Amino acid sequence: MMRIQDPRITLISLLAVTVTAFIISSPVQLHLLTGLCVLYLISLSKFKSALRSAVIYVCLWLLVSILPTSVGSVTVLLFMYIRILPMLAISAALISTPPSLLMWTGARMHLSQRALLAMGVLLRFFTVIKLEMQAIFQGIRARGMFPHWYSVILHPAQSYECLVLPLILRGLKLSSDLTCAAEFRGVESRAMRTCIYPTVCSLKSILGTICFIGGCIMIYYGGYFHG
Amino acid sequence: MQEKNNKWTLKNVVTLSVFTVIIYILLMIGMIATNILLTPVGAYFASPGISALFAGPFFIVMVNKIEKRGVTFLLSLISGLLFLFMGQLYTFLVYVMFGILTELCYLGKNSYHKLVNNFSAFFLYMLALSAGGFIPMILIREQYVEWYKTVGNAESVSAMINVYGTLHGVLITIGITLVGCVAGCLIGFSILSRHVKKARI
Repeated sequence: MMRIQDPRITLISLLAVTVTAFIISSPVQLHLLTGLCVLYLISLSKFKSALRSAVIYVCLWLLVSILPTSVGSVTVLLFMYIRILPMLAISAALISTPPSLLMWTGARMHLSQRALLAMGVLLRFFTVIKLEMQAIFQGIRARGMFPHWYSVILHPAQSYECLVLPLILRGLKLSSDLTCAAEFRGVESRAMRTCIYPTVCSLKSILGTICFIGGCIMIYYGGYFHG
Repeated sequence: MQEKNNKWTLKNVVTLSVFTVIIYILLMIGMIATNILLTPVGAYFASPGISALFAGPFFIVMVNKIEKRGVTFLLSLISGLLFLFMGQLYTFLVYVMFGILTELCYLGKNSYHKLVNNFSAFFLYMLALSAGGFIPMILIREQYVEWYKTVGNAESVSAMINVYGTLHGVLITIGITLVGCVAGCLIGFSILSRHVKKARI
């Protein structure tokens, strides 16, 4: 089985990029920080994530500079997304880590098991909710409730009910199912947790993280002296 | 016996996580939709109120299902952390502060099933969304505007000053949030009694 990088290394990098993203102010610093994140992802051999982050960042900056000021609402949203993109890029590396590996790492860091489980569900459910919504929309379509796109506007109360109610029931059912699955897998066991995924904390990844943190510090102080 | 009832079970933790994600996503959709449909100024006014209309039923169902001490504080804490991840430091601090206040709304017997207690807690939770803007504007105006310039662009900064920099702007925002929370809570209780209790999930 292929060895997976220790998630603690990625967690340290995520912490560094989050702090840096808070304290930097100029667009040049943001460009450099995103560039650094892309290089870091490349060093982790996550080429697809690196390319996707770089392309999205460049496209969004182009959009922000091309769009006229009259569409302020859109640029506000785009700018908000651009600000969190470096953090999202590093988070992508963490989210792709298997949940059991994350929980095992958390247990080794002596974190509360309940907190770890909550974190695991939070991370996973962000992607699952899209599928749940799709299933609800398919159900609505199958029943022929809103035949035209404007039917939703014509019957707002009905569309509200059709959306909110199934989502509540699905949420409750999903929490029951997830609890059963977690209990079945022995999540409440007091024995020392083990993990089937072999992890590695190589010298290359440690050096890469040290360089990444150094880069974040340089970006911050570079902007400070420049300002 | 009381102590045993207040102990968090695994199911409580999972329910809290699942519903927190749904509520947070609804808040985000509300913010994005109001920004596009009502301009950034309109979004500052109406976003918490409109989001409350949709998030209300989820909040009511979640609190009624879990009914344990700390449920609204943890909801506020996780929401605040997610905002912190988006760079909203002041919103995080306000969420933590309001999270403690929401817990005070549930003092007394059987409070997790009463409309008034749930409404006041939900109103405080939704108010934290806009209070993350207007409380720093009242307390540390210059510093906050300077900080906001680093995280937002020119349009969002001017919209924020226009809305949260004036008393009538803050009052209108609180009023819209109040109306949204009343509607959200009433719908939530209606769904709870008519559907969720009958479904017995």
